[in-house]
Amino acid sequence: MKTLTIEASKYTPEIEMNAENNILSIKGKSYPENTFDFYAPVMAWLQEYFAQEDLPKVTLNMDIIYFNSSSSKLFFDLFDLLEEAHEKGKEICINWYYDDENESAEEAGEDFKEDFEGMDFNIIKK
Amino acid sequence: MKMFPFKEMLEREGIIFSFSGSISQPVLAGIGETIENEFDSIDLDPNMIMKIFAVFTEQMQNVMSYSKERREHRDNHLTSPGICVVGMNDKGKYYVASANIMDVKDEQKVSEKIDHINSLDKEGQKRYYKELRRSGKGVHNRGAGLGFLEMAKRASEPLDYQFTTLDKDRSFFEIKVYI
Repeated sequence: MKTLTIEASKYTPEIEMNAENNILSIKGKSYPENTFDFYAPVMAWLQEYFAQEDLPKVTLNMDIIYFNSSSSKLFFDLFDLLEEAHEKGKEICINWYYDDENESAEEAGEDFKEDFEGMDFNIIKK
Repeated sequence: MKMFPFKEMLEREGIIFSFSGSISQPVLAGIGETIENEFDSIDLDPNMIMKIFAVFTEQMQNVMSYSKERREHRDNHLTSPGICVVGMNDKGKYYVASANIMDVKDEQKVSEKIDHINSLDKEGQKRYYKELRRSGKGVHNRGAGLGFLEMAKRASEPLDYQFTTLDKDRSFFEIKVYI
């Protein structure tokens, strides 16, 4: 599979879905006006990626400074997709990074972790 | 139009930023960045800046998505006339307010939604937020129906809103959120 790369904009994060080293990363701010349209290629990529047999361990690094409510829903759906893959036997690790000063990013990470208890979900202070 | 009475009113209301006109994603990003920079330059707590920014973003995206006067452009981009204000009241509390024209038909639905959010305490709001996010009940092609809850999470007082009926089709909607 080809690696998917999307450059950051003022209101969208830098995204790299790397099929070579199996590290997926979303980094920056996320408040597009058409969140679902914007992330559609990412979700499609993930679906195809996790449909593969014999994947090694996959790591998702989320380093999000700020996200709007529709991005919150989108990230939930994204973790949901990962959880499904996890239930089918894929080994997945989610790292949620936050800045020491950023209370809301830390809280948001904790909230997601609660919703995906069965996953290897780490909240990491930068 | 005399600007002096306008300026006096802005001062009386403690208004720090105000904008009235066509609201779009680039306008939102531009004003949002200005708000961040301005508050950062007076060393306001970064968490407070984040809260103001978050409420502002939700309000602007609500105006763009739900205003009766919204206009569709290519690639699912919308713009709409609206008003937004960031200010500080006489007790030193920051607030973010916005206004736009709504369809009279939406009045009841919006009122019920906000009243319900206001009836919950912070824990209840958090549970409701997570429940809606999980179920996807409020999802439409541009959002998740979580905007008012997102504002409430950052608010220190109940969401303050009002509808003023303009004619049989249109209502003027305003919302003010104290951080």
